[in-house]
Amino acid sequence: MIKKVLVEVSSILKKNSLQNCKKIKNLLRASGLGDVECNTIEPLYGLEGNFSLEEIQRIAQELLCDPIAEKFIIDAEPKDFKTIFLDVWFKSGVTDPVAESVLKAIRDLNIMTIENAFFGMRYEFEEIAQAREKSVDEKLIFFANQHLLNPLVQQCQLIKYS
Amino acid sequence: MNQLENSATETISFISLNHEALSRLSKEKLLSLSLQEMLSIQNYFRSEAREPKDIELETIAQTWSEHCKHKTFKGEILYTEESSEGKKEKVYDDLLEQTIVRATLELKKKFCLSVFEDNAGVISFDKKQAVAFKVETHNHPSALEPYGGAGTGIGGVIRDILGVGLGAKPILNTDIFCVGEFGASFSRGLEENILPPERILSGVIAGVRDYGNRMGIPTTNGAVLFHKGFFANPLVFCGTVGFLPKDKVKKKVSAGELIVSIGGKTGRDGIHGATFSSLALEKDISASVVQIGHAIMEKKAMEAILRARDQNLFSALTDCGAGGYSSSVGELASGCGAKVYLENVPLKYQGLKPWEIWLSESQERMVLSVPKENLKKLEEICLLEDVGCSVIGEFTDSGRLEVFYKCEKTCDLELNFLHKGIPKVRKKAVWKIFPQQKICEVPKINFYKNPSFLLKSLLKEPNIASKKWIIKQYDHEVQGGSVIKPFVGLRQNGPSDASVSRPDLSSWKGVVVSNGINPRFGELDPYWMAANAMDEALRNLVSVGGDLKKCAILDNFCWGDVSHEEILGGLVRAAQACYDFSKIFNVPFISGKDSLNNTWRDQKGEVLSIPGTLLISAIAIVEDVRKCVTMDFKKSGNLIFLLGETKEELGGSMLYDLLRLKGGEVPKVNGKGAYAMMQSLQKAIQAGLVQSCHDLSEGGLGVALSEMCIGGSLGAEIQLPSDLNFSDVAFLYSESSSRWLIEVEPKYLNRLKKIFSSAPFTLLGKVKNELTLKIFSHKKRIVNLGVLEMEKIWNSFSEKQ
Repeated sequence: MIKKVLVEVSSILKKNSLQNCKKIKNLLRASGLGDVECNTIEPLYGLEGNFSLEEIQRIAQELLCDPIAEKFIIDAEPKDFKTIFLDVWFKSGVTDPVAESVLKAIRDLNIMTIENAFFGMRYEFEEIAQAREKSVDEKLIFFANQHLLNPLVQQCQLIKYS
Repeated sequence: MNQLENSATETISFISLNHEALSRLSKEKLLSLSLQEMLSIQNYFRSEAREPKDIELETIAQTWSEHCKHKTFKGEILYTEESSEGKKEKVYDDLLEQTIVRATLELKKKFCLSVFEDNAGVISFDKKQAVAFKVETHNHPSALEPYGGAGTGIGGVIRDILGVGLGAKPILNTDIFCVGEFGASFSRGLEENILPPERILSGVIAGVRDYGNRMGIPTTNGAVLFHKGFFANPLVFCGTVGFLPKDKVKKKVSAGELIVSIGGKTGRDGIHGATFSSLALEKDISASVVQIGHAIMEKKAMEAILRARDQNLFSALTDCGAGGYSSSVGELASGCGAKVYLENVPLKYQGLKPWEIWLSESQERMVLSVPKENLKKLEEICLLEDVGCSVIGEFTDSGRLEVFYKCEKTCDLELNFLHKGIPKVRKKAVWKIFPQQKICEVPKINFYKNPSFLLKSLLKEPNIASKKWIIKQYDHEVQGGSVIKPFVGLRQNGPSDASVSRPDLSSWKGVVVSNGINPRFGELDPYWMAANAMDEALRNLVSVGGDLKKCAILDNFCWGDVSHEEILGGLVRAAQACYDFSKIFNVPFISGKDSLNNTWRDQKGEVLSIPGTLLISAIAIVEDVRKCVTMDFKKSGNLIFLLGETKEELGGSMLYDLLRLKGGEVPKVNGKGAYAMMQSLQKAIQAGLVQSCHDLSEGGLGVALSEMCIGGSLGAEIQLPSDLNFSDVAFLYSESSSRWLIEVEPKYLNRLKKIFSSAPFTLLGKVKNELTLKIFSHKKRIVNLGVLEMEKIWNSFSEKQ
């Protein structure tokens, strides 16, 4: 079972996120996706194993985020039909140094139930003008492969409102 | 081909194959071996009366790759020079030995402790310590995955330093990136798998930053060049300087010692990396050739190795780079023999075939030769540093490389054949010299109509503009030894010529590192490009106070498709210049590397080569870092002198690049004159007579003056010489070699005149408190620019990123 822990940055660091969102907005427009906004870009950690919710909360609180400047959400979902998450991960077999460090640190916390860790980025997009069409999903994946990830070593996954 | 039952390895039907089948096999298996090489291998296995196994063919292919064996440089080249006077021919039996290595051997410098034999060159620092220097490239991986490619580029060269002698402590990094012009992607269109230059550069910067910073190594020196020729094939040069005790410079492997692997686990990362580096960048390249580095793992391995070194726990080590264990164990065992048991190699995941384990280029691994009695202590250190440590085999005296996997012998090669059996490559090279290449008039620009326009335009050119956005991402301070960093001046905004560091904090002795590179000159004549690159590296080094008598240089050739005779001709000319000017400058080469076949296929299917590029990296010892100088103006009223002769040499200049002009006269280096001036300048700096010094390179005098004003937050008033026999534009923006601007207190004038009595030495003007750069010609003001305005323009490219 894989649970994902989303580390959401607080207002101090959001400034950086907003700057990056602005850059992506320009790229979206240049790619014919002017009706799509990029709201946030956040680090994403995937944890795999036979763990308890308390353990995940402890890992997130003590390891994955700075409780003063950041907050975390476990298994976040898009809030409405207009919101789309695009998660970028390394492909299987590619060295994931952040995840390796996370796994080591989890062991140092004496939590032995986590078997695997993954590190990625979550882009939250929002359609601002029209109802979401299937072609937007395809366009977003094409856009991500062009600008947000390197398909040679990374892959992406769209997560929609359900 | 047939698969033996229950065998982890594949036996290849090989010894009876015809020429066509051999060539096909080489291509299908990505071996990158020529027919001639395949035939040599076939003869070897015929003499052994057996078919090879897949792992054996792969081992030979890796060992014989261009990356590992430098086949072109060490091959036989028939060079023909064609000019209006006729043809001249010269045969090089071994280009590397007859040019670069030859110069070093002839110079016989006692301070050179290890040259061209180990992972890096080593020179003496003081009575007990030495410094090692290595610069590598990681071009193809960086083109495909810039972050991972560049990160593993710097990670790899750091491991070279860790693996030199019995291990050196990395003390600084230097990085030079050559990328395509920004915005070019929109006009050219993008081929699949080709990333735009903007994405390549941002990924490369981040990759080097994340690796170097996390390793705790300062990045004190570097450069970034933009040129359309690097559109899809960037050049990523990564260099590291290390510090080691003199009694740890040599290594020796003995039969009976254990082969121990330290560091990361093995996966499928980077398989075929060495052979891939010899191929053109095309579609459908496997992700397995790209690696993502893990700096923290390497940091832990580094700490373990340095601890073990100081306790004399191993007698040799090397890094696992291109070719993985096949290359590292093969190299260490070259004088004896080795038995390796692949099942002992720690794996990231199951399912790897024996040849994949053997050839994997997974990062952060080092191979050590450890006497059995020291193993326990070594394991304790590795446990303490939380780093993997596995015995994977034993060195023998068999003269053979034997590899086993679960009791099955998968590889049994004679080491002499593996290292010396490669047939010599024979190639032809041509260079055509015709007078029309040199003729190009200085542009008829109405300079006086808009007197500051050219200077402002040049200051915002990406090749000249500040690289602040990149430099500020790197840690320059860690380890506490950095003296002169990439930015200097009161507000730390002037671009430094070279870096100065103190590897031993109990001493004022320092290490100077600089570089020289200019591919635009190479488009006109690679010979003079090489001469200029050497001149630039050395004049940068001397600018801060480096000692030419304790100086050594490194070469890094990055070239295009060397199967093309004229492209190879350029390479030969550049190598010949390396010999000529190494001798004239009295500075030896201690290490180097070549990366050939830097090409890519465009949308039309045409294979394009990068412009032939030579990076010269220089390192020198400075006796007292307190005597070093920086390039920022220091005080109003001080005199400004131009040292060196300016000629109407605008070929390959930034001015011509700005104006999109081709041709012109490439700057020629007067080696003997340049060497004499460098010695005089060094003497003046050591005597404390020079307050600031800046070399003249891209953008010539005009840009150098602007940068000194920006760095010092001071202005200047300049009067151009009245006896020029060419235009003011040419004087201001010529990129003639061997020139410096120096700032001198008026009281030192007479002493300085004596030192420079036989050198071209021209008083240009004075440093001023008023924040304006004013340039006069024949009493008419031709430039009048505010320093703050110049700074804003110079920073504008960086601000946009």
